[in-house]
Amino acid sequence: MAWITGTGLTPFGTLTGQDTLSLMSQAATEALAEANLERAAIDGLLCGYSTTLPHLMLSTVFAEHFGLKPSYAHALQIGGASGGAMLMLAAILVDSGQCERVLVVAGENRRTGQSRSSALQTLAQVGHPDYEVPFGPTVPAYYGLVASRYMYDYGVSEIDLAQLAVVMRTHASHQSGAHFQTPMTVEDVLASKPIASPLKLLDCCPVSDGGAALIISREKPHDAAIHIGGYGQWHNHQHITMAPSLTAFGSDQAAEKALMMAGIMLNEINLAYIYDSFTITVLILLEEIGFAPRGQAAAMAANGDFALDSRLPLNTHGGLLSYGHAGVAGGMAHMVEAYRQLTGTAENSTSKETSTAFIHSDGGVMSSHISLILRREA
Amino acid sequence: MNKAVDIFWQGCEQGQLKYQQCQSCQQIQTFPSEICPNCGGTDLIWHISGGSGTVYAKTIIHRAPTPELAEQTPYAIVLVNLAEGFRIMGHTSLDVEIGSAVQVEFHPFAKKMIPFFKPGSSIL
Repeated sequence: MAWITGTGLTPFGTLTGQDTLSLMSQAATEALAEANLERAAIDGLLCGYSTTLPHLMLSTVFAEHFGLKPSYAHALQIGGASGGAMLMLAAILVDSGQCERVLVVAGENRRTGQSRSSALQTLAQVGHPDYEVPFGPTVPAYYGLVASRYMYDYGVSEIDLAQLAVVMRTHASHQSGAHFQTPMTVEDVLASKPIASPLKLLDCCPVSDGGAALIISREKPHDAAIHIGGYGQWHNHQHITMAPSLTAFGSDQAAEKALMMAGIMLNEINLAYIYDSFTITVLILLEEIGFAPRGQAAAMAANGDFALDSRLPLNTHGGLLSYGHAGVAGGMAHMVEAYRQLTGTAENSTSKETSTAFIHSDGGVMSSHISLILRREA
Repeated sequence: MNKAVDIFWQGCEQGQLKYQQCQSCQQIQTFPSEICPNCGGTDLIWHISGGSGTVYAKTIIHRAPTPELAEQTPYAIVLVNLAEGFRIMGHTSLDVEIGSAVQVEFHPFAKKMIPFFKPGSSIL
């Protein structure tokens, strides 16, 4: 079985003077300390990519910098789903006996380490260079297109989208490392600057600096035994024009595989960590995976059904929308927080006993889906 | 041999919306290409679309991706389902709504003639 034995998460936001390697190092140091391990104990290393350090061999650059001698190492990239892919691969590596202890780490100074134009150039690759980019879209524009159709088909309003942003901010308001901690209202979201209709500034996650790390071990830890109980992937399309539908993306297919592997039903999950690059992202994923009926996620959010004291707390650290989005580390923050909730070490405490967390990452424009299930051993 | 992408954009310069069909499996292609993603066929023939379609999704860009495009804002990007059975990204007027019938024209944008979908269809 694959056990999570340590986690690290830096604050997210404007971290002047930090770079990719320093943020990765901070998160890795924290994860090693939490796992009570020396660096020499790490024999597997998986890294994400960094837009501010686009190196051919980031994992061994980091291994050299941080002083690791892994027998297995590489970086991988599948956009926002990279963290999910790394955690899934780490589980496979320890389950197969290839590795004893895998360090999964990512970080970058995405906010302060590059000019706005170079950040946009990298992010524009999400669009098709010949058949989409010539029309002047942005990443919010692709999600704006998705939102427009989903809202049309299911009667979702801009107020509904705003409800999800408010949930994340409420959770982040008690989170010392969050990029945005000031509480806000639905009215604040609706009054924020238009970006790509129907999405406004506060429907979009920020660009943050930050780092995150997890250690996955083959050997069962003595206490706080949290294992990776299931995982599954689904890859639907790359470019939004090629998506067969803007209301069915296959996140439910990834989730179903993960649930089946873990041998549990969706209603046994009591913590949800759902990718929230935009309000529409988390709204659709909640509905497609089945945590909410179609068109009802916002009403549930407004009703407190995803609050810390509910039976399904959602993105308890504030998610990408408010804890922040530091590239691959942004999606990994969900995983670190899930582990900390399950071990009772998170800053935000939920009022009910939790044992099973569901994590879902989305890469591209609802393109690539990876679901994971973390369970505390009874 | 001209690449598919060049044939498509040359068509736009000449006021023609061109699309491909695979000769092996008959699938209408979304992105013009050298290979059919449905069957792997490489014998793709070109047709000229009548340009009538329905708006499938729409967004209005208020924050442009580059400083050069900032002066063009706001502009509306759409996904349109064409009558021939393919989907394409294009521009439209700000007030066009999802489900509207539209007809292609070609307007200049960022040094290219691009498909611009005008409300109302004269054919369907």
